[in-house]
Amino acid sequence: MRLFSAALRTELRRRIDWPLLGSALVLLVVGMITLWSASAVQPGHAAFWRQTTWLILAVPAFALFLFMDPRSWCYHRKWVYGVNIAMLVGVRLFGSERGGAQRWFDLGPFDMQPSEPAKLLLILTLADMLARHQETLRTPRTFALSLLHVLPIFLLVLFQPDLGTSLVLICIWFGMSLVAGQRLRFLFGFLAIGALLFTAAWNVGVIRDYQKQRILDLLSGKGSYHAKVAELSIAKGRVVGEGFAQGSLKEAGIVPVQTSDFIFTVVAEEGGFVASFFIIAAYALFLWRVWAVVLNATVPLFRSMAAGIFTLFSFHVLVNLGMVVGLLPIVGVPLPFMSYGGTAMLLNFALLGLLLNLRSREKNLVF
Amino acid sequence: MALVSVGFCAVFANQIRVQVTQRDDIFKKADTIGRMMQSETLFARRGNILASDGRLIAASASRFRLGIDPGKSAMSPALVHELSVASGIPASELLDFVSRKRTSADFDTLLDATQAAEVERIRIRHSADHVWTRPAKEREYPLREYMAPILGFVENGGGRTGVEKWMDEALKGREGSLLGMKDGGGRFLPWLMRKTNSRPALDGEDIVLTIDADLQVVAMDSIVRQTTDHRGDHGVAVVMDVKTGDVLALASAPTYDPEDPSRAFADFASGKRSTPEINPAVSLMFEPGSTFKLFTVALGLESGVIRPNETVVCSGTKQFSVKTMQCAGDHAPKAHGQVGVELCIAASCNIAAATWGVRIGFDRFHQVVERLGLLEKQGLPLSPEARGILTRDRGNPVIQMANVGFGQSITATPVGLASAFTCFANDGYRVAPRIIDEVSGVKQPEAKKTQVFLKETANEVLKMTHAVVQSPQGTGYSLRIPGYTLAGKTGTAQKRDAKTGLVRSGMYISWFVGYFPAENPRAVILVMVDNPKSGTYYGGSVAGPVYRDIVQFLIRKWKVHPDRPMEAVNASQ
Repeated sequence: MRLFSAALRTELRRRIDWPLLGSALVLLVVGMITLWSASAVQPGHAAFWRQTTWLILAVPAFALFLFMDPRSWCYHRKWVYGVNIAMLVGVRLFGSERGGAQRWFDLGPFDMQPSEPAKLLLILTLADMLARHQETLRTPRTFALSLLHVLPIFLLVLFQPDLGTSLVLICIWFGMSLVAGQRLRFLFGFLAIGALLFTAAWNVGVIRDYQKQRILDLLSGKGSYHAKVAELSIAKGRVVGEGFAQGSLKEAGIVPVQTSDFIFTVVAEEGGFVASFFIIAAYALFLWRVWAVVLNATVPLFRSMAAGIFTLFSFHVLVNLGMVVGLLPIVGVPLPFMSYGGTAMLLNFALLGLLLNLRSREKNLVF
Repeated sequence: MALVSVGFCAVFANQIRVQVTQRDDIFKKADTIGRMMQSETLFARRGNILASDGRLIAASASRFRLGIDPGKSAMSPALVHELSVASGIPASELLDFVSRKRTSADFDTLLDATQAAEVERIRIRHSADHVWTRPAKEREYPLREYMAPILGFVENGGGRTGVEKWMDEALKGREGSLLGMKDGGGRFLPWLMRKTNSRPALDGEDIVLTIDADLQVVAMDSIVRQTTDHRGDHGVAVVMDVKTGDVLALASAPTYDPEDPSRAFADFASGKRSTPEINPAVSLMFEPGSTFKLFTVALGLESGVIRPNETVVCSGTKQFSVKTMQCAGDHAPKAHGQVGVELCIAASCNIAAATWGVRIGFDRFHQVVERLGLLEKQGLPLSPEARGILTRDRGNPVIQMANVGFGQSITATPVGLASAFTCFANDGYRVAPRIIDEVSGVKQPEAKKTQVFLKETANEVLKMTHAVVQSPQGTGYSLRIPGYTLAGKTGTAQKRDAKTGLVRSGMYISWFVGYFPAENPRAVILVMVDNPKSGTYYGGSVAGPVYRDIVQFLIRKWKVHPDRPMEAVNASQ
């Protein structure tokens, strides 16, 4: 592990991308405030205090990824990949089952969801893999290798079952391959095959009935109960909102999983269009800064990592907002920095640390 | 990046749409979307039925059972514990049940209303849809068989027969409903309620009957015993207040358990009894037989057809047109000799009654029968009502009127007859029967009174009925109670074959109509046993004892003092 010298650390502080960090922190603060309100229906704001605990745990993760040389992961690629697979297999074997899905490790007061770090670990190992095969990237063999790299992780998550996260994983692979310069023929060919497989899965019955229903509801324009109450909740906020902690629909608990996946409805109901706009703009700013990291990365490894992170955050933000406002079918994807969820919080800060780290390195070479 | 930008624009545009431009439409739509609007039925409590003394005789269920569907969802230890505390069922039993049973089932343990309400609260708190309480019985009838002929029973929330059926509208109340959106805990959201489509439940109305529960029990015991002993098809005992028309008891046999009427229906299906859905006292017609002679004599006296102190010679048989009528005797027709009105009643002379019946003629008879209310429905909400029949026989009016004179060729329902007989105890006024006293605390209208005979005629005929029991020649002499004057009239009608309509030998209807007390009667008591097959069929011996049992109870209940010296009753009579 090669840590920076003291001089470089000072340099780093100057090279922090403040809009990137700032927008993330703004989202975090707004998210925590919203969570306080959303958890008012629980005894003693339980979700809020748990999230705070996780936030404290997230600081070391943030620091680790901020200060550690990203390349150091590459030396331990086998370990990283192995740990990733081991956790996902482990949760299949020892995880606790809830609501028909086996996704969590029960760690006493806290639960750990290995599919969250799986995203980060995938980004690290896949970036390494793509960088090492830079020369032969556009050959079918390398394409197949990259696909084989992601496939075990994807399948393990898909059969937890966790459709949302498995889609994130495949999107990360897609985004990273695209940015690395993979042949579009391969990628879109893959998409076509994916569509075929999806059709087959639909008919064979791998896609569960409730998932089918969600998609059908969306296509028919009728909207599911979940989507309808979410829309109603947002509509209730009007332009300026009901006021902080004043949301009556929130109080009634009519929107399911409102502290996690549907937390945006609380912002929209209590803060109205003004707050919603502010949040959407903050995410746009944040993603723009992440995109800047991708654009300015000079080393293929860094660029791939940044691309993976960008894909991950974009997917999360857009799919979450899309589903909450009824533009997309309902897939359980949390909103970064805002949704309740400890492992996700840890992951988001690790990713943020990594991004700032990557950002600080690009100009380093110029000097 | 382009994709991400497009996505952001879409989200942003949608935000404007939902929160600013189409916001009201969305709200309006939410109101009408069936999937989001949930309705909940508010059940109305079925009204209770009370006897005249306020005793509950039909009550909505007050006992409940706990039910669990173990296949549906797991039971948390907390839920099991709380259910155990609330219901009093040991937790071990609950756990055992959950682990053993595959399908849903109810526990045998009965919970009272408080316990059931507590279970309901626990159910809501734990969102435990697989736990429920339901009434152990639909309806409770504390007096069971004793009240079944009057009350009927409830099936699937509605009355199947009896007062339960015929007063169903009032008893059942009105179900209410709530329509609106619910929150996650299953509670309605006040601002998303559809007020116009919601309405509160209206509990059913309580009904108080005129029935005296104690008297009903005595009457039922007696009529069931007599009907069973003499193997009759039906038995009826009606006790009516002669002044108000209140039906104090309406006993009929056979009866059944209203909390489990299935056996009665099985018996009906196999032809062992008539359907429990009818009450013979109001649904069936019978020929009144000799009890009808009271009307013949009253009508004869009042119209002048019977001259004062007139006697008819009875040799036991007499030819009317082409038919020979006779007075019933033990082995051969009984000759009554010189028969005046008193003896005609006391000894029940057919020849005299037939003679006067022919003289009175159809028109006068029909007029009186009509005013007695025998040809109309009595309006009791008990079962489908029949009404009596008296139609002119064009073929042979002489035979018809001779028959009518002693109560054949005319039919009436037992309750109709009981009401008709009130006229002799009520200064000539006939009082219609009345069984519903109060509905929701509102007194029901008084019974209709119709004058049929003059006061003098009525009192004179009433006086004659004393001799039926008190005179050694009387057909009811064996019914005497030491120290008390009894009054009544026996009747033994020949029963017609249901198919041919012809009188069949060996089939009888035993009647007794009586008054108590004999002077200034308060009650008229009508007893009938339909088709006794024990070999005994005289009204005095089959129906009379029921009258006697009822009078003995009324003596104690009303604390009636003896009105004559005590004398030894010859048991051999």
